[in-house]
Amino acid sequence: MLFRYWMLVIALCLSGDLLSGQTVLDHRQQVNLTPRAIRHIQERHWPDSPAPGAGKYAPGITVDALREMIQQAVANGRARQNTNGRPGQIYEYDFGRPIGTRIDGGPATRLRVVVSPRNKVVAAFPF
Amino acid sequence: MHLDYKLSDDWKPDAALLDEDETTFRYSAAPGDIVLHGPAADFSTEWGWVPLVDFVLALHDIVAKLARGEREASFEFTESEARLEFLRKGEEVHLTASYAPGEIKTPLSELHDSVHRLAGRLKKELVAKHPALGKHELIEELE
Repeated sequence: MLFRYWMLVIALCLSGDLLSGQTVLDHRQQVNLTPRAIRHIQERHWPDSPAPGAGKYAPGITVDALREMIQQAVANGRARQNTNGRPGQIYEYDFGRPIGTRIDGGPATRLRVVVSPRNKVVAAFPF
Repeated sequence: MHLDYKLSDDWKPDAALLDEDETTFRYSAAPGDIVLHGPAADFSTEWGWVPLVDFVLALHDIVAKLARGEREASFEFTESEARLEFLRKGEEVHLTASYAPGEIKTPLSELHDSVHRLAGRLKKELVAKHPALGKHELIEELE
């Protein structure tokens, strides 16, 4: 009887993990790039942005291309909890080719996307 | 160790920002620069976009972790791969930065007090310049 009980507990835990995984996958498909987020990204990371100390996208980037890169990073990138008490998730994806420049001026191949718990993109920059 | 901030002169919070979620608020509110230097290193930024409310809240978090006995903590800047690293060695904390050479050593108690003073000054300036911010729960947390 006790054995059955523990088997049931283990089965429920495993199914919980699977359900959690499914939730993450669903979350990944629904990030929202708002006009505010686009402005935020353009002001800091667009090729012609004067903001120093922030990664820059390569010349020729468009909002549509940005949206596609974010989608790709969120769908395929490494996910981790945001840091320093900030709510949300961080997704990092290596495109394997230069997508911009790092703050030291070197080529950036990776994209970091910050997503809020409401599934809104908050920041996205090459590094 | 000297810890301070410079709030960007041209920043004005739009009304919609006050209704945004916490993450968006932290990444956008009160941009400026940090001033952080010691006898042997200067980790101050000249970027103009460092979100200062977020910076202070993050430092609170880091100091609390170190005070609880955690040996290491990191501050990740919001718009780049730059980081500040905090390493506790006994009662001292050693700070290094990914974007500048050198090391700053300070007692944990001094770091704690500096962060609280910084928070108080930032809150006072923000509320004085932008009274609507005084009702925001994250600004209220700055003590």
